[in-house]
Amino acid sequence: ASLSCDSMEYPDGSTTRAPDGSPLPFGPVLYACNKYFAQECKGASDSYWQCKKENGDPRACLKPGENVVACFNSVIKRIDAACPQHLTAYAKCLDGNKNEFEKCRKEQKALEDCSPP
Amino acid sequence: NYSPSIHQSELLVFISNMFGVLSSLIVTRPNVNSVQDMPPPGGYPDVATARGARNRGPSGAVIWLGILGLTFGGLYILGNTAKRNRLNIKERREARMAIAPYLQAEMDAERAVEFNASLAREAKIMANNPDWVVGQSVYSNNKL
Repeated sequence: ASLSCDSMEYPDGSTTRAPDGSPLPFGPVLYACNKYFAQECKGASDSYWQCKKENGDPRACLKPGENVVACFNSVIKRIDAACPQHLTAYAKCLDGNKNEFEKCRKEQKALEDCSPP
Repeated sequence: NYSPSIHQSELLVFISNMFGVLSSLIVTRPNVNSVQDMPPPGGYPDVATARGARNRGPSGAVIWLGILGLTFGGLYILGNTAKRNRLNIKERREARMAIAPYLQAEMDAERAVEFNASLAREAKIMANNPDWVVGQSVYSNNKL
């Protein structure tokens, strides 16, 4: 089965998902969950930035980076388990509107009502 | 035989002519033969001669209210738009700040793999040189 990255349509008909069903952490999905990231992954992000500030070598901050990635993926998984349709709708709306929040207020409100940040 | 007396037929002609003259002098009839430029039926409308009957437009108070209303209404709209734009910019900035660690960590992992591959290539190339330190920075600054 061939994937079309332009239309974000998958063989099973769903969007913003990998073929195995897990949500794909690409731009619109990250923008959709940015409030949850800011709230729940604050510690990991702050330690990562501290490491980056101290070290210029990217290899020195791989461990904090792994923590950040794991935290973000867990947040996406949690949101997907709680409200998959709202997340998909919001991400699809943002995908079609250049990640402009002002154009997708309805979907944002739906997602935030479903799982408050 | 030129008699000075009036003949009977001439008398009758004279009398009928006089009858027409006298009847036109005495009897009055409407003259239906002439065409004159008359006013339209019903006459003309009244001329607007009253001094205050003309419409001079809105009064001064109305003009003042209009100008002030448009000015301050426009300023209100301007302020609200500026506020909304400020909030939208703030939202976008905070969203990008929240997402940046993930993207940077992804890129760091990729770059680390590529850098290690380049170090391996460098070691393979300079294996013969004992004085070569693989991965030594060419800069004096410790950050790079």
